[in-house]
Amino acid sequence: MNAYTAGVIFGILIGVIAVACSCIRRKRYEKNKVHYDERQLLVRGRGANYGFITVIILNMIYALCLYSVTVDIISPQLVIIAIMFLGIMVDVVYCVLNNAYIMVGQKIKTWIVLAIMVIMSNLFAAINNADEIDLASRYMNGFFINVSICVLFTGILIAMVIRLLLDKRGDANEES
Amino acid sequence: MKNLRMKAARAGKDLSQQQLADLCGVSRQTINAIEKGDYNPTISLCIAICKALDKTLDELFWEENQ
Repeated sequence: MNAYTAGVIFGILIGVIAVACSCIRRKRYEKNKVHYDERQLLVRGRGANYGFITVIILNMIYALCLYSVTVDIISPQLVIIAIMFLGIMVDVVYCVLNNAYIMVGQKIKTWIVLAIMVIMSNLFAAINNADEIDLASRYMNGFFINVSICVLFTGILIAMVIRLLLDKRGDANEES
Repeated sequence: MKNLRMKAARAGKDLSQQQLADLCGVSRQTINAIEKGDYNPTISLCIAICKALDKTLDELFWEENQ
């Protein structure tokens, strides 16, 4: 096992431990404080449906119309992954704009800060991986993953900021 | 259809949408959606709102006579 592989495994382990600790803490200390209310659950179901339909339609368009034209320009693997990220963005942005992404009891500003941190770290990684740009390469590379995550979270961040501004206006006159 | 009776009852108790939402365990936007008529709450949420506003289900959620 070389140093790179060991680093990847170590990083994944740290991530899994962090997620597990977060889930345990949430179950133990916040189980009655944060939750999705009934309207939010409905909206989240609709958002997941729209994200799923987006992925299906884009995959069909690519497979039936665009594959033969673009196969030598851009790797099919990158296109499939990009379509997946687009589906996730549709789902999350729909939930954010309909007040179903942030649980009751959570603050949107915390998520805005987290989104900014994710964008900054992936932007930094993308800049450092800029020498890996090769769209026609048959395999996924770090640069593409970092850019995809940046684009995804930028869309989510914009939706969250719009939601925050609308909520502030709503608090003032309780009409939105 | 807008639920003006619920809005009036909330105003009568001098509660903001956020305060009523906190009492009922839902988000402010859910209370707003119910008052604007954009969302029909479940019976359990209707009961929670009635308890918070000291009103009956009929007073807040029954159809108004035409």
